Amino acid sequence: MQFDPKIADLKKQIENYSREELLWFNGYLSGLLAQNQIKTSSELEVLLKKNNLKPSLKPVILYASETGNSKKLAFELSKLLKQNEIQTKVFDLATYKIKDLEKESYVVFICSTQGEGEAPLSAQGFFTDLEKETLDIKDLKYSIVGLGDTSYPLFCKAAQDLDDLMKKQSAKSQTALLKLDVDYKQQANEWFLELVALFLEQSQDEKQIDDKSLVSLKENDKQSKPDHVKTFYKGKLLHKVILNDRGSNKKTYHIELATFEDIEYHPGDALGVYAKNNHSLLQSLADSLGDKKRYLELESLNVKGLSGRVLTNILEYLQIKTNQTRIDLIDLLQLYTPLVRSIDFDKIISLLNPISPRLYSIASSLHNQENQIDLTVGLVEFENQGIPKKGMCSCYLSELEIGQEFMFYIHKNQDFYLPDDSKDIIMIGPGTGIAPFRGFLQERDQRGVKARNWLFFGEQHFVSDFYYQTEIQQWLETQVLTRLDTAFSRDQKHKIYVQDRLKENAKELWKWIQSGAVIYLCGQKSGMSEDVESTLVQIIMDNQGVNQLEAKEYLEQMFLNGQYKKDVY
Amino acid sequence: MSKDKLSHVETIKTQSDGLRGTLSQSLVDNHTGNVRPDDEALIKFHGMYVQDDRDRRQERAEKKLDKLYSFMIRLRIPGGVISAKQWQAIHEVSELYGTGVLKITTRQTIQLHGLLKHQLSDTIQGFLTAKLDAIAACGDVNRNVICSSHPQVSPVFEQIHNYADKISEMLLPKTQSYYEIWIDNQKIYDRSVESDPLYQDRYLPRKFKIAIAIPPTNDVDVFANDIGLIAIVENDQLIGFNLAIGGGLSTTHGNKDTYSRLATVIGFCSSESDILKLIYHVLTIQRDYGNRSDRKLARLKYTLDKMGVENFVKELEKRAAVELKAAKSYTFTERNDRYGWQQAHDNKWYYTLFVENGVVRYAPEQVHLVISNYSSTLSRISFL
Ligand SMILES: Cc1cc2nc3c(=O)[nH]c(=O)nc-3n(C[C@H](O)[C@H](O)[C@H](O)COP(=O)(O)OP(=O)(O)OC[C@H]3O[C@@H](n4cnc5c(N)ncnc54)[C@H](O)[C@@H]3O)c2cc1C
Ligand SMILES: Cc1cc2nc3c(=O)[nH]c(=O)nc-3n(C[C@H](O)[C@H](O)[C@H](O)COP(=O)(O)O)c2cc1C
Repeated sequence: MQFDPKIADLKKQIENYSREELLWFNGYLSGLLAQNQIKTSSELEVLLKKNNLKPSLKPVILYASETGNSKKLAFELSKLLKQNEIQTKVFDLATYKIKDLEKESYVVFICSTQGEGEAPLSAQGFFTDLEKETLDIKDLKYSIVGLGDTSYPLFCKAAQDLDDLMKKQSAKSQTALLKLDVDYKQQANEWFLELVALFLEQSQDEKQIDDKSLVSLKENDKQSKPDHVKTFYKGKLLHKVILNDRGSNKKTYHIELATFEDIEYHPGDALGVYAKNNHSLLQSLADSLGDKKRYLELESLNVKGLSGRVLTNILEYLQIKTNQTRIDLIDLLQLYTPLVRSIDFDKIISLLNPISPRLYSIASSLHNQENQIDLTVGLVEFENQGIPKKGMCSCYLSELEIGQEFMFYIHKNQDFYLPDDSKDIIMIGPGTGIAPFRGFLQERDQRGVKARNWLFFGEQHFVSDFYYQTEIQQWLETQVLTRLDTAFSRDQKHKIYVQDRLKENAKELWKWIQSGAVIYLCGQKSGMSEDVESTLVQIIMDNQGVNQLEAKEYLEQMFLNGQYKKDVY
Repeated sequence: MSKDKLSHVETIKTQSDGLRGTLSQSLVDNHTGNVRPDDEALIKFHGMYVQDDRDRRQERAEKKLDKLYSFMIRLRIPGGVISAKQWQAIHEVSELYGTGVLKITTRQTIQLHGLLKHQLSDTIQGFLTAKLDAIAACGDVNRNVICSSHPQVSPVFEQIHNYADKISEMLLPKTQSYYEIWIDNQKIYDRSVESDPLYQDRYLPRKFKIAIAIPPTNDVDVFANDIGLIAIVENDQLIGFNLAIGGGLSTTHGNKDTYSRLATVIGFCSSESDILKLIYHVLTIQRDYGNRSDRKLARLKYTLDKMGVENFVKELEKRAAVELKAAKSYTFTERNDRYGWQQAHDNKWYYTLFVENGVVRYAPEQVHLVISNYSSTLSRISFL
């Protein structure tokens, strides 16, 4: 291939493009590539035949998931395999023993990417072990499906890392690494069907393939083409207010932004926001790097909370050591500059990643107001080595001025949409978790939906932290909101949380669930969502008369069939 | 026309099922810091009223927060005397649930401000463990009975003081709703013990104040009360009380029909049981003849002037079956408080503290320490 003229061509094409446009194209191209990587079924067939897949093949599906997408796919694949009488098992990488890989013959990994190109937290142990241990898996065959989002600079990085690690262990890759963007469902299903078809063809006793179901599934899926086009929009800050009253420990912003065009979204979707670095920070940073004038080059690069690979690389380049696992570049330089002769600005830039977008649940409904999107943003504040710090994007949003413009995209979140109008819903949304439910209630209010709506809200103090209190009062008055339960943790001697309210209302809750109500959980993942979930398990145990394991499976089933929906972070 | 129509509060009272209303539901309304509108009137009978901070309305509305509602709770402390232990308990409660600030009022009681709705039950239960309550501290009933509190003034001081307790006790509403709502958490009381011949289901048309003065000191402002008792002491013996009725200084700005009035002395009575009967029936007359359509004209002074003093006294003597004697002479020579160390009639010393605006702030190292160090010897605290 003649690359140089093509690159010159390309450079010319894109020289006037903004960063956001470039990012968009980056995603677009990755999408195209991802599509090209799927082998056609005949290619797969050849591949599998060549490798002489045993008829007794019992593929194992291993998933690594943060928000449940990979997990759902794993179970869909398992269902499909079982329908076609292929035995299989599904495991979460979080609990899978790495040594067991030596006993498997074929594994299908389904793995998402989180953070800044990292594996989901629960699977990081597995990744570390795979890197450290020497396994006897020369004969192990594997396929990897990566879930990711082209809005992020390191698209499907974890799946890529997994592939590299497996190759290093000499395992046999059977299919090209499949990288899927946010609209992964159709592509994944197509790929699964091909996988199944080929597993089946390998079957010795030539079982009748249940062609009908396969065909029908295929037909369903072929209806729409995957659409990788991600649109970036411009928004303008209309209004912001801290929802907390004086004396609160929190700063949670209600943010209203105006859009310049009609933007299609549904309550449940999130807004992806790209933060920019604060200029005065950049100036001192550029100064430390030896060239104050070039500070704008750092505007969209992540210079805060460096960790993992980026941190390792920078430490290596600067030849310094720290036992901190997360540190801002400016702190790093201030601590260690004296030891370094000269720093190459370009080198540092090449070691940094672009700022990843952050997601914020949309807290409004299009039905309520056109060309306006509301968010509920909790300002993240913490300390690092005694220095007070603020979260990158929450701080950026909180400091936006009225009229200031910024870029965003809509992160579709179909798995967290309202059910059809006949269904009751139970919304559990403490803290900023209330955001999507404000959208839900606006939507159901506007459309005059008759089904019942039950909200669980919690924060620290009734007086200062009751987000959207007056709106909630209106919804109660007009009976849009059927029930409200609140838990203000610090208003009494003992702490009370939403899960305690769930417990108190277990009987009634169970009635709602039995009549088909859909449970929505949104908000903090660590702590809150785990506690709520174990309470739900307890409620199932008590009311269904089953043991803990069965209750967990019950909830799992509710999650997989969409009666229990989560959006936790 | 509208003069004859009962005011809305009257309907709320008669339909309140012994001052219960929907208070129990109001307490579990988790979307608001207020109680339901009708309960705002009823909660006064339980010693509380609701306020909202007007200065914060606008700002909170922008934050999509409801008004900042808080409650004041006022204790019933007949004669204004509490023990050191009770004082300490009040402090503890105010630190736990209130703003940590106590307010000593001109009616010899203590108020806590800034309580949130969800703290009310705990507050009341905290008080109850120190044998304190807030029953009838506000509302259209007999309020806290006040009494001269300088032990110095008379050797029969204790005896006179006991009247405050007895009167207060006699004029308490019979409903057990206070305990039902705030303490026993929905335990249902037998309504038959609640029949209330004094207040019936109507209570009084307006608040009602009683004060006891021991000449020569009129520190309680005895003529500014609906009923004023003036102790007549001869040779260190309490021989009875002059009875004064119909006092009240408040007027409504811009309402010409309202006026302030000093209580009229209507006679003397010596026996305790007669005194109590007379007081009781001043209330029944006010209950039956007081204005229930215009709350601004509902205090006893208007009822008295409407009936005429003579008619009123006739009706009172009939109802109480007691004949009033001619008033005894007495002289009030002072109205002020005596601060600092004072010696009482029994030669013991006591100390009168000046508390600016009656506001006592929590200062752990001061008030508290003193009281806990000396609580074994400190016999009681009373309020001027
Ligand atoms: C689907 C989804 C929906 C969401 N919806 C909402 C919503 O509605 N409202 C909302 O408020 N949030 C929401 N979030 C969370 C939001 O996306 C961000 O994660 C959050 O605002 C924090 O981002 P940040 O850039 O402010 O903080 P970051 O800068 O990313 O910091 C996050 C954390 O990283 C650590 N860290 C960062 N820098 C350092 C350092 N120098 N040293 C040590 N530690 C460091 C700290 O622990 C810090 O708390 C949602 C997330 C998801 C995934
Ligand atoms: C906070 C956050 C960070 C993410 N970072 C990346 C990333 O760096 N690269 C990427 O390809 N996808 C990234 N994603 C997208 C997820 O991989 C994608 O949403 C995936 O469908 C999640 O699958 P899961 O639910 O199984 O975890 C990120 C998502 C979130 C919420």
